[in-house]
Amino acid sequence: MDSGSIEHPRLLLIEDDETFVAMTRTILTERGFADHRTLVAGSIADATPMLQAGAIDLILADLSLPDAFGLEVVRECRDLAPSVPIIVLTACRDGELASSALEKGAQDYLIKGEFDDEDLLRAIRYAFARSHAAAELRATLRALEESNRQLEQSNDQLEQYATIASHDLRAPVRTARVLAGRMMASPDLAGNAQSVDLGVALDGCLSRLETMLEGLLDYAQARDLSSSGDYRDETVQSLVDETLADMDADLREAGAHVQVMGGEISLRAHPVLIRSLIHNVVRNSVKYRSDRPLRIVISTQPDEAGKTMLKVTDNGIGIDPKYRTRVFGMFERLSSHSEGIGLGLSLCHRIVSLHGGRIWIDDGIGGNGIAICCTLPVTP
Amino acid sequence: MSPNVRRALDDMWPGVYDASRAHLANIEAFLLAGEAATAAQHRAASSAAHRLSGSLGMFGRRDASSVAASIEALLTEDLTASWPELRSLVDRLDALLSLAT
Repeated sequence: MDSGSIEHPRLLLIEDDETFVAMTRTILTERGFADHRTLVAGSIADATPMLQAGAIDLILADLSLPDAFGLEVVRECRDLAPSVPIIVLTACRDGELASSALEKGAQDYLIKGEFDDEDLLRAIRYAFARSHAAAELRATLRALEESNRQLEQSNDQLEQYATIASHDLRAPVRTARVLAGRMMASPDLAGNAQSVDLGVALDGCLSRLETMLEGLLDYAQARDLSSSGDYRDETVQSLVDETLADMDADLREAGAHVQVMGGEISLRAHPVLIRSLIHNVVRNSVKYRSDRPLRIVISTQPDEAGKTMLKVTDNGIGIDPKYRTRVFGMFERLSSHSEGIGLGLSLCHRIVSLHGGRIWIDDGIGGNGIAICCTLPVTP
Repeated sequence: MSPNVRRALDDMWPGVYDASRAHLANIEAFLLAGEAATAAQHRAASSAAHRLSGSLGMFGRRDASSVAASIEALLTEDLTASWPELRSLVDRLDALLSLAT
């Protein structure tokens, strides 16, 4: 007998009709199955200890038993032996019942009186093959889950390292800037034009390094903040107002006109992270403004259930559509001349992801600029 | 059926025939009781028809299996207007079984 994966399978026939039991045993024996490996149970109660012992490779079950009927039989077998393939053998010619039995986990459905030994043999072979494939799939999924767990663990360690490194490096960098400033102010160097130039360049480098370390720290700390569970209900208007108040000087300098629409929507979010999100997006609008008077529109609109779409639209220089997904990657800058370090939008992406939302870029105002859109959870 | 399986099933047929007659007797008992039949008699007749429809087909008695399936279906319905039809089906099954001895 070619069962696909098991050389001498142990079959359990759950059937209370003695005639059918005798006939099925005859067919199986004639087709090469060892008779002593075909066990018989007249009811689910009789089958239970056999299935619980875990030695059964395949179940042949009638749907009309003294203690279970119809799909209940499949359900009981599935519960008792989740990984053992089931073939239903029944006199019921009900197509709907057959479909439901297959949906509940039966591998095949044969109608008594309408199948012959070849059909039974084929059903057994296919049931083993499908069961084998399903077991392999489960094993692959388990391996994938394990890899994923290890990857997450490794990411956590890396992130922890990045947090500690960026945190601990900030102090020496600050000190270096102070020392560089003192050095440049010393009478010996202050009069030397070349030294002054080098000092200014050094300060610029240290300043960028400081910004980068702060960005990395913000990025790494976003998840810590998110997992602190300090989620609160706050309206978009209040979050935007607080953020814009902090940015007032920059917005004035840029001559920005900011408009808020739909701010009454209440978010169930981490306020510190959402303010950081709004801050980064608005700062980008300021940073990448065009010659036109800067306009920024912050709006909300309903999205899928439980979420709202927050949209920050500007009329700045915009981003070519082909780069609109790339900009969310870490350290991605579209121009080497831009003053950013390429962490702002990746931080936004992370904050939105931590809130279970999506972030993307659309066209801006009147075909100019961009709109950064993201979905965020609303107050239930 | 492959020839060796067919032969093995043919060897079993006398025993299956006797069991089938016993099942038919249960259906006859219900039929004879008519409106006075008990729920237990009804259940026994349904179970007998169910078993006959399953096993007879496996032994190549497709016609008899099909009649037994019709009896089973009829027994799940309200029989008020179906007694003559049930009687006729039982007679037909009896005749088919007699032919299969």
